[in-house]
Amino acid sequence: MSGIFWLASYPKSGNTWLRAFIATLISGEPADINKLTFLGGFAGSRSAFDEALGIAAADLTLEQQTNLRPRAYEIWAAEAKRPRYCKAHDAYHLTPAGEPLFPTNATRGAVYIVRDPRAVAVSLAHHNGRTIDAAIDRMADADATFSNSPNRLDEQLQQRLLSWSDHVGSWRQAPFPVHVVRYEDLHADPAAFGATARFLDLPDDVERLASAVAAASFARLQEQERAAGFVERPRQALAFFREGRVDGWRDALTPAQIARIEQAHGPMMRRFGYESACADGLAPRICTTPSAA
Amino acid sequence: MPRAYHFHGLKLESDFHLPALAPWDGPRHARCDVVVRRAAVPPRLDAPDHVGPLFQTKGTSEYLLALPGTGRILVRNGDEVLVDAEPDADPTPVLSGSLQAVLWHQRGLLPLHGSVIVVGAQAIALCGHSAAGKSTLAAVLAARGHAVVADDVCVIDPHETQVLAGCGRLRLWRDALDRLGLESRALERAARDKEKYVFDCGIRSAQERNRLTAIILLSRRDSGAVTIERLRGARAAGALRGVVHMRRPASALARGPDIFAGLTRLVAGGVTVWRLHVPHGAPSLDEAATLALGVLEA
Repeated sequence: MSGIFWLASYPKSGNTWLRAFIATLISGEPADINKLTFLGGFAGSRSAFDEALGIAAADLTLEQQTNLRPRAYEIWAAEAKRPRYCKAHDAYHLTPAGEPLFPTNATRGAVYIVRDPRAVAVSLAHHNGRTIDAAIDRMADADATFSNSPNRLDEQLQQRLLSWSDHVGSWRQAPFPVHVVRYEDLHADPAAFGATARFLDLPDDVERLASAVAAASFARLQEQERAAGFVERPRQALAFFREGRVDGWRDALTPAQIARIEQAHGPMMRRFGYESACADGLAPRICTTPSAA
Repeated sequence: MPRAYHFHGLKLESDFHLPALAPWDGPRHARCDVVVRRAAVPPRLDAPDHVGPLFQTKGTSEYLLALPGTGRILVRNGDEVLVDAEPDADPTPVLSGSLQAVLWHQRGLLPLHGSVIVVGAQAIALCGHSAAGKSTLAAVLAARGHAVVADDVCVIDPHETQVLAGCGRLRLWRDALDRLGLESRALERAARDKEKYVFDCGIRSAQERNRLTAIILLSRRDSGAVTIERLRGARAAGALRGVVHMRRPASALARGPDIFAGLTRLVAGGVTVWRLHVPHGAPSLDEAATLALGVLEA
C-alpha cells in the first residue's frame, strides 16, 4: 500500500535525525544526509510542487500555491509505488480555499516529533541567525509563516507554522493516525525508535534497529555535515547539526527567557511532560517573570 | 488594442501587456505568428487524452489550463493562446512563464528551464529549477558585456543545435536587484503582486539564432567553494531531462520521445553539459560567472 506518511515537526525538533534513521532502516546503509529525498521529499519543496502539477509555483500567487498543494500531494501519493515518508514543517491547517493542506485521501499517517520548546528556542535562534529572544517571539506568534518574502523567490514554498503550541496541537487533531514521539525519548531510549518504525510499517527487529540508530546518531550526522556540508542548512546558520543536546537550554537561556517560554506554552508543555523549571527549581538559575527580569 | 511583441524571432500579438517581451520592431505588416486573445474558453476539452488536476490535453496540440484565481487558458497548435481570465485576475505571470514553454513544445521545439547568454556567437544556457539563480547569474554575465537572449525559457531547435534568441529582458526579484546594485524604482513590475521587476540588459544578439555550445545546470550549495564539473554521456542526458521546462504537460502532449531524441542529439552533437555548484551569497556569483564563461574553452 502506498500513500504518504508525514514526518511532521516544528523546525529544529529532530526531523532530519528521524529521516536519517528511517533512510538507514530502509536501505540498510548509513544514510547520506544530502540524499534523503528518496524517502519521499519535503512538503514545502518548490521544485517538487512544480514537477507534480506541471506549472511553476513562481507564476502563481502565494494563495494559489497553498490552495494547490493538496493536489500535488495527491499526485505524489497516486504515483508512489511504495509509501512515501515526507518531511513537513507546516502546521496541520486548512488552505485559504478551506480544505486540509495535508489531504486525508493521500495520507497513511503521520509521525509528529515534539521537542521541549526551551531547547527549540535555542536551536531555532542559531538556525535563523537571530537572537534567542527573537526565536521566542516567533514561537509565540500565532501567525508565524516562513518562505513568504515578497522580495525574493525561496527554494521552499510558503509554510504556516502558527505558534509552537498551536503547531503541536494542530497535528494532534489531524483526522488520520498520528504517532507522537518526544525528541527527548528518542535520545533516552532506542525503544522509542522501535515504536516509530512499527507505526511506519518498517522493519523493527532489534539488530536492524540498533544499527540504524547508531548510523543516524547525532555525532555521525555532525561528522557528515563537517565533511560534505548539508543542503538544508540555511545560509545564516553556522551548522545545521549544532549540539543536539536534550538539556542544553539550561545553560543557554536566561531565567527571564525560560519564564517567557513557559508562560506562552505552559499548558502544551505540561501535556507532554515538560516540567516547569521555574516551578521545580530544575534550572540552574533563579527564575523570575519576564516583567520582573 | 492588441500589442505586438518580438517572441524569439516570431511576431506575437497579445490582448494582454507582456512586459517581459520586447515590442515588435520588425516590419509593421509582418504576418502574426502567435496570438494571445481574450476569449471564452470551455471548462474542459472535448474527449481529452489526459486529465489532471490543473490541465487537460488532447493529442499533441491542445492544452487547457484551469487555474482557480487566474482563469482558463487554452493553448493550441503552437500559435494560439485563448485567455478566459477571472475578474481582477492577472494572467501575465503564467503567460510569461509556464505557458510559453507549452507553446514551444507544441511547435516541436525543446524548451529548457533556463536563461541564455551569448558570447561571440556561442550560446550558453544556464538551467535549473525555480530559485536556482538562473536570471541572477545571467544578469552578472550581462554586466560583463554579454548578450542575454532568453530568461526562464531557453528555446532550442535540437535539429540544428541552435538557440532561438529572444529579447535581453530578465525578470529579477528585488533581493537580486539589491545584490547586483541595481535600482528597482524605474523598472516595471513583472507581475502586480510580486516584487519582481523587468530589467532590460540592453545588449542584443546580432543573430536570431545562435549555436548552443554549453548547458550549465545550476545547483545551490549551502557552503564551500564554487565548483563546476563536466557531465558526459548518459549522465549528461539524464541530468538534462530534469530541466526540460513543463515536462509533465509535454509528456501529456506526447512529446516524450521527441524530447528524449532531442536531448540525446544535443549531447551527441557536441553540446557540453556542466553542473555548477554555487553557494549562497553575492561574492560567489562573480566566481560562478567566471567559471560559466570558462566552459567555452573546454
